[in-house]
Amino acid sequence: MNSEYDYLFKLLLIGNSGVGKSCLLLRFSDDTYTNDYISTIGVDFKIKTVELDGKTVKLQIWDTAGQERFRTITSSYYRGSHGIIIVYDVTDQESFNGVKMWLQEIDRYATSTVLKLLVGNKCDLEDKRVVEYDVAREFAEANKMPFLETSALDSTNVEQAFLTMAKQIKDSMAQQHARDGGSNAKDDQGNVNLKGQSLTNNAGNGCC
Amino acid sequence: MAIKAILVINKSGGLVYHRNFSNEESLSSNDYLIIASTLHGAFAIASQLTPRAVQLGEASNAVDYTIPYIPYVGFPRSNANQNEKSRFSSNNVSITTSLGSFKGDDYFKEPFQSWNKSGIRQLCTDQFTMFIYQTMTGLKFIAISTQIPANVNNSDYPIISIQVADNLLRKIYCVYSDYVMKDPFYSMEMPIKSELFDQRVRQMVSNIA
Amino acid sequence: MAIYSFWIFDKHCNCLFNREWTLAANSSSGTVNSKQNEETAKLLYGMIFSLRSITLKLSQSPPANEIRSISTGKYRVHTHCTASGMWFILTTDFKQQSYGQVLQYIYSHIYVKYITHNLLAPFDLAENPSETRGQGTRKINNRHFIAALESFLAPMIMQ
Repeated sequence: MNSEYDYLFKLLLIGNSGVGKSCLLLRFSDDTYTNDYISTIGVDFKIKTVELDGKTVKLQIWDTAGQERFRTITSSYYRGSHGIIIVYDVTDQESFNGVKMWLQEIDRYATSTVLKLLVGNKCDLEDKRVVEYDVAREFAEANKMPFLETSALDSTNVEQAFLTMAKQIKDSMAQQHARDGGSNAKDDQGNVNLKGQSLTNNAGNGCC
Repeated sequence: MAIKAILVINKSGGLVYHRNFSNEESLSSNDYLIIASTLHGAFAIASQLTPRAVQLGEASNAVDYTIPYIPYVGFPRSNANQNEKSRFSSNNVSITTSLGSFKGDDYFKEPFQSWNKSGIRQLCTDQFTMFIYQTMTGLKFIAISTQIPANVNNSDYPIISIQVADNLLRKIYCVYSDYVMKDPFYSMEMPIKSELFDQRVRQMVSNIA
Repeated sequence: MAIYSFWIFDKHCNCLFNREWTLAANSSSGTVNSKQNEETAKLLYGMIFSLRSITLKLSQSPPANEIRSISTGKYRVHTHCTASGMWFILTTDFKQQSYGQVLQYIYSHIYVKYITHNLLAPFDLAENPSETRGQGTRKINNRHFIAALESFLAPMIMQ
């Protein structure tokens, strides 16, 4: 049995082709993997193992292809993702305009509670910049998602953002658990009675 | 047909359970995660590749996706005969408890529909055969078995092997519903940690061999 | 038993030849080297490539673990990989277990005879590096090859 990890989080990386999605995470994953998949099935995988509150968490990053022929298939990759990172190129206005389209895709295929992050890539090419930082930040605020700029030279802040995202996902999961458990065993200090004896103080509570 | 491994892939393509039955050296957990997600992707592509002749002819000759019930797949072989006899007299308690079914001596007894219509169901290679059973909710149960002997003359053999595998995997799905879905500590879509589920799966597979 | 399509891929992921029969049990229907099949060819190649990487990873001993067939509820894909890295692929209905020998025959008696032994045929259809990453557009158009293939497969389609 795979007892090596306690949680498996699915993070999705999307954006127009050519914005440098794959380069963002070159140093982030556990091992280097061959990048052959992306041109064949429209997705590539990177895995990072992290420790959060004493639990082993596997972050599996699905790096999707922007090509047209995968459009119907990538929609199936959105399913069940915990976090989505939209990447654009600060030197390419077209890729920033595409972000709106990607947000629509997210609305259509992903769950409404999915965490989002906007990343402007290649910010080291300051002289070729066409998308201003403030414009992007305003856009991100309007769509209620965090925003940061990065470059392949120094992508530590992206890695930091990924870890923050993982923490948020885990916290929201713990909250959900507390909510689910709480409604059934309110006065039981969160303990669940596994013996199946009737609990006098909440016998009328819950569905069974 | 000996089972070499059982995998469970959640609806978003993440590997949530994996058990190797052969003593061969296994890959790292990351490798298996990538294998599972790649299968998920290939599965999605397979449904896009339905040949035009099939698409055009679909209305006229609809394929029947009913899988017949094959009795006692995954039950101890010696007990199966004994069970056959006792079926009419009384419930066989020992088998019921040994498999942990809450529904009598077998998990189901009727033919069922395969929900896996256009995705991959079987992958034959030189060294092993892989069977994929998909539930209505998109969960995938995968069995990797030793390869189907090439010299079997019965032309129905590949179809029968798919049916046996579907019966076994559907039973594992029942075990999953009993031991994983009813576990109050299990968080949806996360790796399966249930010892009981693992035990039942191992038991069933050892009965097959 | 029905055959739906036949494909040849070279070692550069280029689709060299495709033949699709769009009407069941009609050997003269369908298309040869259809442009519309470009995207389908890429997806088919991608599916087999990724599954092949899985089977190679899961294989135990040195003799490479090749895919024989992939079956869905609707159709089955049979593959045959040659030592030179070419793939011969046949899609049929899902019931048929093995077309390995058929593909082997097409390779050794039709492809080798009309293409490999043909002094005028190029050694490699991808002539420049830009065509080696699945971008090639050249196809096999040898009429003798096509005729021999048709006459070999026709009886199997008629059934």
